[in-house]
Amino acid sequence: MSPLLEIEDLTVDFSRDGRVTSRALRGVSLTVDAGEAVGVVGETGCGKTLTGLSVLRMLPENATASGRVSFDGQEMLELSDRELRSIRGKQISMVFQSPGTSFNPVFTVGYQIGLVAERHLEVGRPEAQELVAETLHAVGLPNPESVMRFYPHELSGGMLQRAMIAMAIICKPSLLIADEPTTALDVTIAQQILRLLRRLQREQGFGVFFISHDLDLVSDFCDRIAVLYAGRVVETGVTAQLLGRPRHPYTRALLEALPGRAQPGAPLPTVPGAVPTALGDATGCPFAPRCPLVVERCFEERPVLAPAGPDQAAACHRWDAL
Amino acid sequence: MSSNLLELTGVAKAFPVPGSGRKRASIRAVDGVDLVIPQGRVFGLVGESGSGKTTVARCVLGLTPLSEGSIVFDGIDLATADSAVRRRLRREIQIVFQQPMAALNPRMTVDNLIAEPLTTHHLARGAALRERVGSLLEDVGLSATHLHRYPHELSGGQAQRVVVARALASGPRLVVLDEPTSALDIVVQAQILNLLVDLRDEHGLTYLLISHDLSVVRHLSDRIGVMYLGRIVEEGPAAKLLGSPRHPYTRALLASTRGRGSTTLDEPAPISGEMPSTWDIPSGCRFHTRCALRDQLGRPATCETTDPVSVTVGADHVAACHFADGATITVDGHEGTLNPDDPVRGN
Repeated sequence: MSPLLEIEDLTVDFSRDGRVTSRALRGVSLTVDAGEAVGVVGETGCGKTLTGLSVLRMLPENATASGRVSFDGQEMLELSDRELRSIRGKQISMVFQSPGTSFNPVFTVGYQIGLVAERHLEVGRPEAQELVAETLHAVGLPNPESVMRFYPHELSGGMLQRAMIAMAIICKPSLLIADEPTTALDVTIAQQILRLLRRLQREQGFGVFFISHDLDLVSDFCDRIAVLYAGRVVETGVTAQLLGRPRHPYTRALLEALPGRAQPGAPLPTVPGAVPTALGDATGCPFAPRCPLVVERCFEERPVLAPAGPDQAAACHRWDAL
Repeated sequence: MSSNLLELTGVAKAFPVPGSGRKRASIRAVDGVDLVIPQGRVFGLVGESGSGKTTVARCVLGLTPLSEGSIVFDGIDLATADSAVRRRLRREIQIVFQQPMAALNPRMTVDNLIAEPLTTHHLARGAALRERVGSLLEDVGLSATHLHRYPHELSGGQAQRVVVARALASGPRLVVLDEPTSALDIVVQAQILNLLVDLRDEHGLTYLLISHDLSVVRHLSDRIGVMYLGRIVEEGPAAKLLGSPRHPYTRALLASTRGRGSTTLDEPAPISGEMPSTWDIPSGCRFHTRCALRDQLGRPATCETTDPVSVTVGADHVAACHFADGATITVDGHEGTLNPDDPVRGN
């Protein structure tokens, strides 16, 4: 069976005046199976959000994507705008980081969610509004009939995020892209939202593409994890395995840098240097200048993602030294 | 004289609500906070958005007058200090903000940014100024190559180092760290946390750390206070408060941040509902509307009617909960002992 979503060698270039100014994704390959939750983690600028946006072809105008994004048998990068519109919001939907800026402030929440149903499910307004009430109830909002009549600013961040999830699931998509869905929320509310997403995923069976910088959240939610560094997947694997025995020194560095694991006050292990810029590209491994395991070969030959133990793959020449 | 550098007693801050007419309505963002920080120690204040942590910080910095209570810094009451003393205190109490990019003037270079507090407070000029800027730069782990850069030419971590250097420039004794790493990536966060630990040791600094992130607070703090709706509901030594939390809210917060695959998302969330608005603080115990312990105990009436006072639950460890002491309780005719180590779960 082919995966629900298959991203292969995806590259995204930004250009200005016809010249490529930066290469943000440098050949990302990822799959999400039906009903599966895959986490994409990495630091700011590693390309995790861009990967998510590429799936829906919602890239900025000066960006060009190449490679392959195949969803449910359709080549996303080759579809016409019209075909694309019939997929966005219906078969693939997205939950954004800041619910406060993702709703239009001048329309009520119910009206905005209803538009999605009217457009994709070919139902009239009254029927759509009924469906909205049902869906708001399903995402755990009390008194859906009154919440529908609220404007976005009248709802708290947690309630708005529930409303955004309602908008995302109203057409029963088969893939949900969640881009830092809880980052703007307090920890206690974040836990409620994660549980809501999990329950809906169980009930409706959609796959989840979960983008986050937070390894803890991702490990709670996802079946598999892909770690991105400077526009490439450097490691991917089944959650427990990848966290328990990281096979890429960058993954290990991310895990060790979390303060929750260390003795209070003790120095936290960090890696020197900074992420390379999106301009130009070294011949070898992009992590080599910061890597504690570096050998000469790392500067000469770029490692490709290769099996590194069962259900795990790493782009590192020295994965077995970890 | 005591060795406490900072002492807050009954600090309250109410903000008038505009447009509320003759009623003179106000919201109490901070409602009776007591805390002390001995010289050289780190006090961590945790809580959700709207719990009042940043308002406490603003009061300590003298950015906003108190409605009630007092703040005593090094034996001086901030409210009654004369202007000369206040000027000195501005040097001695500094702050590191959450968003480094927003805290740095985009039109100033790094050397001018770091020199600014030194010239403002007439602490150095000429060659001595340049030398001091150089040594501050070194203190925060930057080098001369950064001197002539503008904020937009720095990474987030470098910018936060500049913010720390500015805070250090005037030779402070107390530094308020308001979410110092919340805007940073994991690896950069680790670098800044290491820097903050080193600086505290080298300069004998005292920190008031404000954060919503329990793991950051745990890493840096000697003592921790947990805030909820303007009050500190539990306070104690870091290891004890996190190791055996006694207030149901602290337990829920901890359960929310345990993470790393140990959380089963099929179980109910550690805490239900949202924090009520400061407009509408619940009667009795202000946490009772979300309290799992109250539900477990069969909703005793006292939670709704009586505002709990902080009781001692261990050495140097207090919690404001009617049932925090784990004593034998009788609820609806059933007698039982509440084990403080029992996990508390929401519904």
